[in-house]
Amino acid sequence: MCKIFMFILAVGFLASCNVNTAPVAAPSGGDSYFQNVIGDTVRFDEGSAALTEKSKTILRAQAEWLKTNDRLIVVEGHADEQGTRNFNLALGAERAEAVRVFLIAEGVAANRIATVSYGREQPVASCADETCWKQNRRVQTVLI
Amino acid sequence: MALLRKNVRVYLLSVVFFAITLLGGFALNAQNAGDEEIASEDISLEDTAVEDTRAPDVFEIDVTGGVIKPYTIAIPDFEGEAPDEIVLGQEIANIVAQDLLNSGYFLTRREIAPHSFSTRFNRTWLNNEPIDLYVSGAVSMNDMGAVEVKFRLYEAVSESERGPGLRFSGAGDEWRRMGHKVADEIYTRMTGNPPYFDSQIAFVAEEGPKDARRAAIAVMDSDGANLRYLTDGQSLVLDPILSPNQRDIVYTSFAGGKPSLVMMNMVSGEIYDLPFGDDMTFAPAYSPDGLQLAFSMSKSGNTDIYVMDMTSFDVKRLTSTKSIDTSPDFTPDGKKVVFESNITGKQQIYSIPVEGGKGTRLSKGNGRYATPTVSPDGKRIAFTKIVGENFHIGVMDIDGENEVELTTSYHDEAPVWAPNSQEILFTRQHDGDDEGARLYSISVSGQNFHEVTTPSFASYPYWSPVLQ
Repeated sequence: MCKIFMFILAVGFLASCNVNTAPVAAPSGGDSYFQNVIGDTVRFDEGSAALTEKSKTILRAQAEWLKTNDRLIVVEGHADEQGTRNFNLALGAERAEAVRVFLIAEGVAANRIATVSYGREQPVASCADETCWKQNRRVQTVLI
Repeated sequence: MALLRKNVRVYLLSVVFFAITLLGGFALNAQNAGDEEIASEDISLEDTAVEDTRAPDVFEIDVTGGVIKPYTIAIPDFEGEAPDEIVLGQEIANIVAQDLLNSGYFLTRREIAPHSFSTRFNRTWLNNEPIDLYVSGAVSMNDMGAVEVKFRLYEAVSESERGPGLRFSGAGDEWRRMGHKVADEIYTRMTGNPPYFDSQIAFVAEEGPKDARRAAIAVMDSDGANLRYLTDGQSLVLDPILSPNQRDIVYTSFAGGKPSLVMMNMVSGEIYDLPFGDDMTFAPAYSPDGLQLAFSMSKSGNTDIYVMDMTSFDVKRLTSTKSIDTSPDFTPDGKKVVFESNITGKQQIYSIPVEGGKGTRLSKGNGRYATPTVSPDGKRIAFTKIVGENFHIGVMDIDGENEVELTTSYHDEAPVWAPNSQEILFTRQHDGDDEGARLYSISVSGQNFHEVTTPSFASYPYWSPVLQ
């Protein structure tokens, strides 16, 4: 399933492969389905660890997938570069905790979840403005 | 130490390196310090033993222009006899001159002709040039490789000595330190400020693009010499601090998969996990006596300040808020901890008794305040201040009054104090893709701004006390 989906992406038949339609969105055991279709990353407002409605939707889908796929996860909290190093480590920890608590409330066993904060130390985007910062303010649910 | 779980990984390279460069005589072990430290003694001229007891001049600072009028000081090569000694005499003079120039209080003249150390200074040596001070020095090495450095400081106009002549002796591999000791002595005599050149700077060396940066803990002399890397760059590391006895270095390591404070014995190179359990720990600060370590720990996402007794390794919680409390630093009397907290929604600086109790807010202005550090004389606090998209390094009195912003840039942060309580070293991250951070220094009066050059990107410096 995963390979077929990736193949479709690769050859560019995106119009026939809307991820919200039923055939593709069917639950799958593939890691790349979790990572790319559900989305393994949620974003945050500046300086905030509050989950947005969009984030909650993604996290509910993550929880559903995790209920049918018995995997351990590491919830990694990140921050953008706009604050000081220590504060951002703490903020990343707050963000990771917010996601952990939400996933538990959605039925994921607490003993399957580890958390870590990387603060601002592992950005995914390098530019020095908001277009990159908003990508870096994130929590990524990593399957292990 | 038996309580600590020794990390499996021992950095063999570090062990070998320190056996060569550090065991030679740094006062790394307090019990043996008497044997290993640089010895100094007064030496008096044969013809006059009169000591200058006048109080040191205090620099006049023009408040309108804020410009220090520096002394012009002649520093000829230090005298030596054997070829090795002659070369060493040139190098020592270079170190003294570079240190004094970096302080901002001196203009240096290296090219003035040297005269015999045993000859009393005569104004005619200066050929009527506008020079205020003259340093006469000499070096010698014995068969065992031990080095002796001596100097006299003369005032050009009066032709008299400014303070007593001094002799420093120590192991051969400590010759740079002896140069720093000479510079410290001259600096202190002329400014009235405490010494600071003979000290160490620890920092995080960084390289590579922003999204794939590698980091290693590094230590160097205050002038950038003797740079050595203590970790191998395989794991993310942050925030090194040296123990007051200079034997250990504590830093945050991600080697175990999460940020945790570890301690490296710099003599043996062995790394120990400090016993905290599974929670994230970071932002360490030693008490001035080295017996306590303040730090941040995140439990269930909530970050507070804790203090560990470094003898029993007992941990006690110092703050209990639902907000982010981090960046602790001790006052020099060891009685209080200053830190940042966003308990009001915006980061501000607070102080709290180390025994616990009520916190007192110190910062008063607009903006977010972070990373407070207390000057070694206990009089001021340096901090990072964020206003809009600008970052500043600022200072205020220990009670939060008289705040001054010293810098403005895209991203300045993490100021630390030189041992003289006058210079502030901080991290400046430049604007732009894949730019890195560099270390800069500025004096508390806002002058003498300059980069402290490092071979790679560098961040989060720590400045040790003056070595004994």
